[in-house]
Amino acid sequence: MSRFQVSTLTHDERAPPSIGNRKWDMAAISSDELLDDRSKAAIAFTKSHAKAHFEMRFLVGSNVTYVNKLQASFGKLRAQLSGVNSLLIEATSLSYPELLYTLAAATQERVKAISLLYVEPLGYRRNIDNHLCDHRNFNLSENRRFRSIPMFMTNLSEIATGQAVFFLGYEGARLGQAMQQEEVLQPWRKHIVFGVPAFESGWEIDAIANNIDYLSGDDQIQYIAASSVSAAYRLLNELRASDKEQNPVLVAPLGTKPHAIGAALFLIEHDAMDQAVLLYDHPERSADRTEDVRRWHLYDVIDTKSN
Amino acid sequence: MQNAFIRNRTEEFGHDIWSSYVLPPYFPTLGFNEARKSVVLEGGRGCGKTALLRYLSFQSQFSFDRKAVPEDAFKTVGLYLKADSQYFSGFTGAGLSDAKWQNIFEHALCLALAEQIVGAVRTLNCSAERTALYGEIDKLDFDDAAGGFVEGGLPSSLLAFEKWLRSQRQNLSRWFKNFDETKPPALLPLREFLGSLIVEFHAKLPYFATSVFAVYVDEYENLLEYQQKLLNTLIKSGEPPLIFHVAMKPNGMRTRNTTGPESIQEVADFRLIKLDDALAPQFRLFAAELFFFRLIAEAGVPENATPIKLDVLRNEHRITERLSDSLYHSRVFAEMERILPGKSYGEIARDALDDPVLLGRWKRIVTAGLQRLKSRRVADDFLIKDAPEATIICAALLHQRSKNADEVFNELSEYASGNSSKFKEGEWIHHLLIGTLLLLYLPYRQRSCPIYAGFDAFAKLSRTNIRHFLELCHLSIGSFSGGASLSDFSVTIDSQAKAAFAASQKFRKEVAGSGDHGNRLLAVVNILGKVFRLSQSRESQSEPERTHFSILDEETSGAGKTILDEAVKWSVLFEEPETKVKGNRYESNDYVLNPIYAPFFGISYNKGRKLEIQSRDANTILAGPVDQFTLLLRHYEKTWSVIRNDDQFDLDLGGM
Amino acid sequence: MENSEDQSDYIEQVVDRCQKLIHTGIWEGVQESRLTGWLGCLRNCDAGLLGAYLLDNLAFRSRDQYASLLDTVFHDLCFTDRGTQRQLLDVLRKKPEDCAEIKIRVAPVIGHTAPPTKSGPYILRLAQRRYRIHNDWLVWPHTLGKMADLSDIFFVDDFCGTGNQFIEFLMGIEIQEILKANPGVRITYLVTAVHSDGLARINKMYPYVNVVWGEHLRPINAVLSSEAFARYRIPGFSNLIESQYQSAIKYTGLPVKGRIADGFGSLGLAYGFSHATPNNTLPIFWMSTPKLTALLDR
Repeated sequence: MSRFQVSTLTHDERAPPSIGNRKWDMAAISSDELLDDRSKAAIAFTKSHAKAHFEMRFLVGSNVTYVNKLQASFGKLRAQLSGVNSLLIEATSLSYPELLYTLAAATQERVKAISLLYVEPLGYRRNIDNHLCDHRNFNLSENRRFRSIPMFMTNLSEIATGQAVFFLGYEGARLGQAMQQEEVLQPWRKHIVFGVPAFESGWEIDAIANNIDYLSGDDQIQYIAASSVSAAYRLLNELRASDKEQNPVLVAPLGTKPHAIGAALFLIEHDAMDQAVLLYDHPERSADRTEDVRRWHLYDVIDTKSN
Repeated sequence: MQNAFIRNRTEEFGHDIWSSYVLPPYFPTLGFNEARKSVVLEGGRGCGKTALLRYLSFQSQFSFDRKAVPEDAFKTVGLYLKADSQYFSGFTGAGLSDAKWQNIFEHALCLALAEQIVGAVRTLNCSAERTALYGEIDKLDFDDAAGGFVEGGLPSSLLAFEKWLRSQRQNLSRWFKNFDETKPPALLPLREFLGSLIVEFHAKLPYFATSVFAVYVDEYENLLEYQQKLLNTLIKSGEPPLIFHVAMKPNGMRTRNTTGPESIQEVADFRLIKLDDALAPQFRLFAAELFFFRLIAEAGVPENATPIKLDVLRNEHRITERLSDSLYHSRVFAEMERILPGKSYGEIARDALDDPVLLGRWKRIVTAGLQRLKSRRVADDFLIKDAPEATIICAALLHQRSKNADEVFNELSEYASGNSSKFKEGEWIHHLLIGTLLLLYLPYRQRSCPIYAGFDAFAKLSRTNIRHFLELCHLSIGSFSGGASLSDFSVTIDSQAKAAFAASQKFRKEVAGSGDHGNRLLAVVNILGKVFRLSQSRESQSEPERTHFSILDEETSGAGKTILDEAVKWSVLFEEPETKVKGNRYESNDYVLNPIYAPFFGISYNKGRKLEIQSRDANTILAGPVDQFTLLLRHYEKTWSVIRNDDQFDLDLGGM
Repeated sequence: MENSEDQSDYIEQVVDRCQKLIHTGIWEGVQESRLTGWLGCLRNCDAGLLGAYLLDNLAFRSRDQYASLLDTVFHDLCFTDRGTQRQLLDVLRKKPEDCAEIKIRVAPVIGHTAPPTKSGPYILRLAQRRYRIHNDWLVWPHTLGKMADLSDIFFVDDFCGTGNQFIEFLMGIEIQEILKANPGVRITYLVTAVHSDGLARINKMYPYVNVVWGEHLRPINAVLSSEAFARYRIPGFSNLIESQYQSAIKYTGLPVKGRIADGFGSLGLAYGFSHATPNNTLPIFWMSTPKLTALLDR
């Protein structure tokens, strides 16, 4: 029996869903000043449905967490959630570590009901400008480095072998970079997860095309819906259960936010004794994310350990 | 046969590579066994750095597969350490100072190395026979040796000490899970702690009585700055019985500082060995030996069917013999050239004239040249099938400003008659043949180009990268259903050329994953490749085979410099001291584009002519916005009068 | 007309990718020999670039991908059983006789033209095996007329394009009579892939039918539409593809006009499953003529 139960409400409209009088005790939102349209919409919705809220920020350069703009230890973060029965996490604007820490704090404080809000952008398949061929579109953004964060630090050289699960998105190089930077993973059993069905039909073509060169014959390819938290969480637990030797499972949430959320639940559930390991590259939030709203997802998580 | 080359990375072989390691020709020059001073091993990807260190480490030296461990192997006990990049990169911030992190890092290293040291004893004594021969493990008393470093002392026996080390690692792990709430574990001082373990070994284990313990830290370039400083300190102060060596990519040492006031210097504090340079002179031989070795080890080809002997390849004492036996070299190269045959340029020229498409292109280029020169002659005047090389280069000659059609025709006739001619004595063919052949093949990307086929071509394409060479072999053989015996087996030119293109494409794509700036590096490869390709497309071939550049006017700095350094680090570019001195004007070193990308761009793999780039343009390439690239290309097109027609590098001949 | 270098590179790149897709199993169900043949036929009429463009935009669902579409429909699907929310699959795994109070049934959508080896019945069998659904919950649709007091009926189908087939199906089983015999029954249409057009039509004609889908296709998925071309910001590209398409149709003998010419309902899709290809997908993908090897199976 898995620790977390996830149910989903998807509102396939631009306007926020009407959920009546539903209100959460507490909400967690991002401190980020660079908010795009959908983050603004998501935060507005969150604030209006929570009795109280706090701001969260994690700076990966210095490994420091800020709660309401003040430097905070993990204990302080937990203190924010003390006595809270229901928490709404605004996952659209939170970075991955921020999401992970908030969830970890919530589960440790035994928050009974945790909800996560994710607003999809009105994106589109990448344009092809000037030349058909791929040496046209240089993505000149800085590559990122894979680096561990406090509380989720594991020396991969100390693990004999395990399963590595890569959730992939539209950018090509991230899987390649992971394999190049962490050569120790070469002999691990690898699972590559694509979001099919994608947010919009046809978007999966780019994700697959951009990553096809990094797939090797031994990799197991898996497909789960791009917007599904429960499918990601379920998949990870199934993979873990399928290994009789109970080797660690490494999770690289390089794809959609819902997959990342599912991965976070898995990490929290199995984090003890390095049974679940995080591999993440902390992409910078790009400056021009002005994507309008496409649709809303509200994921309700019941932590059976707290109930 | 194909499977022999799939496992190309050392990681895939595990720690004990005793049975699978072929000693590189430069091995005797390394002097690791006698080394009493630190070595910095510098080499790009695929040069065999990691394999070498794994070979030197105890897991291989004391391998279970090794029947008798010689005296020599005890002189230096190798401890291999690869810093898991993502793990150690996280050793920063979280409210702790760099100084504090340095102590934590030192502690983590100390634990890892202590486990390695203990591992050395274990691996040596891995069987009943070994224990009978060596043993004495029960004499070890760890509490006696190092108990003072730990409150409450240490357990005495090896087994208990191992357990203690494991629990220390777990304590550290546990603390990382919760910085704020739990107390940090007591931190160990690396040199002192390890030093005392070594003293204990010297005293109690006769076979280690005089051993020096050498730590090989791999991927040094991935460490954070303060971590590099700590290692630099260990390098500087290291001395027997505990010395530190590091392995890194070029430009991997971001700081020479130590934790103290001094910095480390080459020669005084460490010896720098550049593996790519060490490998270059004998790369062809080594590559060929590896090829056969893989066939034996992985594809089951019997040893006597190959020109190599496994024992010789793995024997440290027979390297000199290997390098000096010219009969052996002849046999090896002959067999390689039989299996991976190439075509001479003359044969390629002849075949081109027999190929209707290539001949058609040649004719069009020649005709255009004659039109320019307003000559009455026709293309067929210059077509002499018995003199294919000379014929081919006429296409270029007739576009050179300094020539006229009659002169070329006369020289050609002289040449064809066997008389003295500028084609031969004037070195026209020597300078222009390869470039003109590439020019002919240039627009036909789907055609396999035989220039890239053959053992020699493969060796040049790989330069000193073993991984590239083996991949070329893998792809060549892969598209060929293996024959029954080696003596019947040979790969067609076409398969090899296709493999060269495929490998080139694959390694070009991989650039995107190279380090922090991989995306930019790929952009650099692409633009340089295109510029060189553009240069290659000039009919006049006035600067044939351009594959490298230098930067003029101003030294590159800032973002541009970072990218340039990264390009060298990841072997996208090779830096060579510049070949000509030009007075007062600033000129950078030469930067050669990695020849492995040549087949993809249809350019040469030789270090041909140089392209001098103004620093402003260099900065555009290295750090500028991508929409400037198109402008840059247009600028070169204009300068070189290359007429383009809808992205074609074909020539504008009035509608083809 | 010879392709420009950029175009040649593009073609090569797309073909290379497709081969890799087949080798890795992502396009398990597409045969490499058919791919080569199909492209060869297009090259014969100078439509190599068209072929690359079509392949670049083909959304092909292998069995494994299809399983994810099924999961998206079935996992977490709930229904209300006498006031309580229940997971459908939890119930369907049980024996109906053990839960006689739960009155639900699951039936395949059977098209007039589609053989039973494809579409509705096939998908239902797949789902049954995958989720270990007990046989007794499953019924042939024409038997529904004899049932009464059902609270939920689930219809299962693989693809809904224009909605025609489903609407004809409902009429064929006399849905109005079924509603009368089962007052308050909830009808749910479980379809792994649906197109906006079909969804709109069903919502209009049968507003009480709840549609649950795995994947949703839209006008932009019409591969030769101006919306699809809008991504390719290269002057003259869409005209070139259009003209190659027209000549390819003529040369290969594909229908120039009629119901199927632009994919049924003019949906013009580039979409297929490993078990079948909807006829709303452009015939150039699935129709076989003496001059055209079919890439996909209908």
